[in-house]
Amino acid sequence: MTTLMKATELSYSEIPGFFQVTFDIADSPRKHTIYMRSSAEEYNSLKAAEAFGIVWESTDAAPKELLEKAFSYRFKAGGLAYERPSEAQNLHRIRYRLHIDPRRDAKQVRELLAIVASTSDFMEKELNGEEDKQ
Amino acid sequence: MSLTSLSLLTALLMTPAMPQEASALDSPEGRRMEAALKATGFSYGRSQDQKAFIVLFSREGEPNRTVNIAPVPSAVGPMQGHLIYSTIWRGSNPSQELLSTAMSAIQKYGSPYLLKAQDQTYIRFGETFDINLVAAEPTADDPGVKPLKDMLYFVDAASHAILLEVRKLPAEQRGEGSG
Repeated sequence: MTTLMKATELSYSEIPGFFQVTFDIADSPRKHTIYMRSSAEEYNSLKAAEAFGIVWESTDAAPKELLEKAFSYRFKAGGLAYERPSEAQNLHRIRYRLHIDPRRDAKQVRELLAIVASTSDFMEKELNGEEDKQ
Repeated sequence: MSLTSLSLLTALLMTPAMPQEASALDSPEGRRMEAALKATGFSYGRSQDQKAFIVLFSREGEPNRTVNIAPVPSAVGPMQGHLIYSTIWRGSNPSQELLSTAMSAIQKYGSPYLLKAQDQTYIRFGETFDINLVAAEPTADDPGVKPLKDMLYFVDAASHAILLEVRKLPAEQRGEGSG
């Protein structure tokens, strides 16, 4: 995955288990940071690494209305996941996630990561208002 | 933290629910997906409303699970993704506990989502399959056919795994719906 990330020519940093990339959002002062797992999950012949952006987070559990609103959005690819506090992190989070096959070429990966960033930023605005949090 | 200067022009994916017309099954895209399904060797059919291809999965002691395959793909970047999905729960007025349980039962791939239709709410699980991976006229040996087959297996298995999490809830939180 490191070779593939380098080939995308994106400017990224590495944190344990993840590549981290911050995108400028076109035609706005907004930015969005996304994460891509540095190893892919496998299921028989399937192989893909999760790329995601955080679209909502709170110390409190997501209320029913928020879950209904968020998970009623439809995406052409990828979708949302609700993450509860765990040993790894102590917040309730909703993330937009898209799985990327590491056998794709660097240009496609770059394009898909940009889609993760812009979709995550859009959902962040939908769920939080205009404040740029991520 | 690093910053990329990549300009994002057309990346938004949000779209209203795309109704799949009955004729979509027989569209060129639908026929291409049907050829891919045929190559998997699975026994498949058409949904009652003629809006999706379906494959039934059986599991001992459980009702058959229907996995649906949308006949028309959505174009996203380099992908032509067909949604492959299954219903986990349907009923009215799902509780917060039910929603948070289903939506946080994170699987290797794919995501749960809500669909409201008339007086029913559906909790579904789905993942897209890029038809570009499969040859236009595939045979069983086509390298893209095995991933399609495995995606169908995966959506069945992941949907069942989420259902098992939902069943752990007390009946009053699980609601009157069923999987």
